[in-house]
Formats: sequence, C-alpha cells, structure tokens
Amino acid sequence: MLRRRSARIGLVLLTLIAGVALFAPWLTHLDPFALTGGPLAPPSAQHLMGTDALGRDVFSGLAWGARTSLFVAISVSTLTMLCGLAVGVMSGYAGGWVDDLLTGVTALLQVIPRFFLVIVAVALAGPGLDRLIITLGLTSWPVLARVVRNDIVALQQMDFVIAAQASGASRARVIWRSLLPHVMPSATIVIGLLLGQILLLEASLGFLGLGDPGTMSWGLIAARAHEFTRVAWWLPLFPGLAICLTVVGINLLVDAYASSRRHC
Amino acid sequence: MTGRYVIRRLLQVVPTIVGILLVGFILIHVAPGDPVQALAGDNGDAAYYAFMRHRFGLDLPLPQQFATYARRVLSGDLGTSYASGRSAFDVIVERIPATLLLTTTALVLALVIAIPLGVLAARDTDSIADLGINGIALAVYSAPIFWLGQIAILVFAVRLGIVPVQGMTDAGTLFSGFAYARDIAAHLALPAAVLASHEAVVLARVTRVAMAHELALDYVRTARAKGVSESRVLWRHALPRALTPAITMIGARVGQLLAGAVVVEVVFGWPGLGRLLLAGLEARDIPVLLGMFTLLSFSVALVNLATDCVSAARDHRIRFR
Repeated sequence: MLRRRSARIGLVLLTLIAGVALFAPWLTHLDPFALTGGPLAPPSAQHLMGTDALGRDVFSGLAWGARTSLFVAISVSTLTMLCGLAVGVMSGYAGGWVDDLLTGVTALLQVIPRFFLVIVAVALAGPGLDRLIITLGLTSWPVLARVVRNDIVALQQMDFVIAAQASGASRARVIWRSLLPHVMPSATIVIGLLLGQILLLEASLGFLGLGDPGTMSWGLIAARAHEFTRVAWWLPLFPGLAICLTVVGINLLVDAYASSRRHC
Repeated sequence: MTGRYVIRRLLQVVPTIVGILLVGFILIHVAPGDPVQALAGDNGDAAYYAFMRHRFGLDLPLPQQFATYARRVLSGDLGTSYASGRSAFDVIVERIPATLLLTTTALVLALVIAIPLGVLAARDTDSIADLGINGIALAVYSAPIFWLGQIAILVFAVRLGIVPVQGMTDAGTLFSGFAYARDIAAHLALPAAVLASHEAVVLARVTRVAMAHELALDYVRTARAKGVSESRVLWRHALPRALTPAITMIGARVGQLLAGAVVVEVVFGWPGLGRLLLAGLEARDIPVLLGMFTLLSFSVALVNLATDCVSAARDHRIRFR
C-alpha cells in the first residue's frame, strides 16, 4: 500500500500533524490563551504564525488545537465504529423484523442533517467537547451500519460461513471469527472517509462557536480570524490550512488503502 | 407505472416525517432541566410555564405529548422565539428566500462546472487533465468551507477588489429594478462560488465514474463502430445515462449543502438562515434552532423524494427495485 506515492504523502502529513499534537508542550512554550505579543503582529521569528487581535500566539494555538481535533476525531470514530458495527451486524445477521427496524432507523438518520442536529443538541445542553463527541458519534454511524449490514448479508451465503454454522459454532463465534474479519476492510474505508468529514464538521461547528470555549481548537482560531481577514491574512490562513492538510492526508491514505484492497 | 412508484415513495416519506418529529421531541426531553424550559426559556414565570406546558401538551402522558407536539409542529407552530418574541415559524420563513437564492445558484453553478469536467476526465482517464482535476478535487473536498470563503474574500475582495466583501446589497444606496438585481448578483457571486466548489467536486467525481462505466459498455462501442461522432457519443449517448448517479448524489447531499450554506452565510454576512442560526445560538433561542432543524430535515426528505422521482422517471429500472 505504501508503494504508492500518494499514500506516502498522506502518511507524512498525518505523522507531522500527530507529532505536533503529541509534542505541543515542547514545540511551543507559549500558552495559547496567554497574551504574549502585540495585537495582530504578522509572522516573525518570535511568533511563527503571527498573533491574533488580543496578541495570542497563533502557532501555539494551532499546536494545542491539533490535540483537540485529533481527540475529537478519534473519540467520534471509535463511537461510530462501535455503533455502526453493532447495528450492522445485528441487522444483517438477525434478519426479519430486527433488520427492517434497524434499516428504517438507519435510513431516517441518514436523512437528518447532522450539522443542525448537533447545533440543537449543543444549544440545549450547553457547549462542551463531550456533547459534541456524543452527538457526532451517535449520529455518524448510518453509512457504516449500511455497509456492514450488506457485507454480512452477502457473507452469510458463503460456504465457509455455512460450514462454520454447520459445525456447531456458536452465534458469537461465527460473528467474531468468520464474519467480522471480512467486514473490517470495508468498515475501515468507511471510517477513514468519515474521519475526514468529522474533522471538517468539528471545525465548522467550532467556527460557529459551538466548541468548548475553554479548549483551543482549529475552528476557534478560524472564528477569531473572522473580523480581521482584511488586516491580518495570517489569521484565516493557518488554521484552515492545518485542517485541510490533515483531511488531505487522511483521504490520501484511505484512497491508497482502498485501491490496494481492490487489487489483491 | 411511474405514478405507482411516486405513490409508494410518497408513503415512505410519512415514517420519515414522524421520525424527524420524534428526534426533535426526544431532544427536548433528553436536555437537562424541565422540557418546558427548552420551549419557553429560562426567564418565564410560573403562569407562562403552565401556559406553554399546556400549549405543547407537556402536562400529558408521553405518547399523547408526542401527538400534541407533532400536531403543533405540523400546523406550523414552532413556539415563540425567545429573542424576538415573535412566532419562530415566521422568523425562520422570512430568512428562507435569501438562503434559497444562495443554494440554488450554487447548485446550478456546480452542475454547469462539474458535468463537463466529469465528462472530459472520463474521456481521457489518467491524462494530465484527469490527474489535475483529481488533485484539485482532493484539496477542495478536504478544505473546510469557511476557510475557502475566508481565502476567497482575501484574494478576490481584499486584494483584487473585484467583488464586495460582505452582505447582500450595498449599504446606503437604494437601487431599483435592474440595478438592484445587479447589486445582489455582485454580492452573490463569491459566496455562491465558494458553496458551489464543494458540490462541484463531488458531482464531477460521480459523473466521471459513471461516464467511465458507460463508455466501457457495448452500446458505446456499437455507436462508435457505426461512425457516430465522438462528441455525440459522449454528450448524447453516454451522458444522459450517466446523469442518474449525479442526481442521486444531489439528493444525498442536500443536508451538507444546507450546512455549507449556513457557514458560508456567516462568512459572507449573507442575510439568510445562517445569520439567524448564529443569533439563535448566542441567545440560546431553542424554538428557532429546533424549528430550523425540523424544517430543514423536512426539506431534505422532500428533496430526496424529488430526486428519487426524477431518477425513476429517467431510468425505468429503478421503479422495480
């Protein structure tokens, strides 16, 4: 898979971002919330990416914001994976009315615009990363569940699954040993694509002020740029670029993984 | 035959509508605090709470509560906006034209750009044009839409000064007739282009894949063998059949289009639902936000219905699925 150049570019981008997130305290000694320089100072040796309207360092904001973004993305995709696999496996394996019901719920959740659902949920429960993660996690799984369900339905016609069932393997064993390993590749691709979407969604919600105001995030920095686009080009440029490069990295890796699966 | 499909598809909308209402209902009840606070705000007195509780049936058993809530919402009663004291439904509806103008312009723009690009990329797969389109597509698709807006403002409005930065019309000038329309168009160009870029990228990719699929089929070979010109094969034979996935994609992405529109509106100060949403968030104006969620969910369901019917009318096989 890594023989493709695009995959290597993706890997480098993601390693870079993850490295910045991991080593944020060592990369910058400036507190992202502290007023450490003059207001709206352009990029310089002291402030690599300039400062915002209150004199807060943009680079340290980005470094700490990387932690938030990756934390949200990983938490949401774990939740999504759990929900999607559970619903997809149950729906595909049980069949009958269980399948009908779960397919119905999945189809309904696909119609509902997630963005606006999260907005209402956050407005009702107050801003905070936990609510953001829970609402995004509980609403992002339909695509995954659909793919998993269809895979499971198709797999059950296969000889090796029928053989496992005929040899008296328990239901859990059939699902765990025969079905899940074959579902994982396509599930990984779906989760990878969702990961990019979740990062973009989180950034947009942060931009509208729905994130946790006490936690640094890329969307938050971008939102602060809003009124100063005219006078300080560095404010809008860097946070968006960071998000864009992360999502490009994810999409390149997913693409390479998908085509490597296709060829083998 | 299409009629029967449309009726069957219409019946499928009913559970969707009920489901959307149920999600809104659950949200009010799951939220911390008394559900009536969600509808009436934190600052009402006991009498007002009692009135609102009765109006939305919150003093009844749960199933009846839901029935009352559903009846209220379906008759256009979304509660009263805390911020303005007016009907939330009216507050939302008066913002719809601006958002509708932005989204439809963006969608038309996206189609006009994406379909030819998709066709050209499919004609020479792996050519430089194809790779270039793919690279740009990846970058645009991976960029947050507010950032595309910010960068567009930076380049086209601040540096080059071609278009106005903000708003829907020039402040302080009163245009009428044609000049008014031109003023709006000038303000619309940049936000519509930014909103269109995401859609265009997705639609171009879908069209490219569908076209490549069609071009490999026997009827295309037959047409070419008969000596039909290449452009006729591309645009008249293959493209009409390749459009169905693009139409489905438009339906599948309405929700994202609307979300994008809201963000773009905030970036460009466009006076539609986005600004209302931002004001609603600041005031925690739940009736307006919840009403917006409900109405937009309904419209997504309806657009899905419409695109499905269009697909069925174009491709007769869909009706038998």
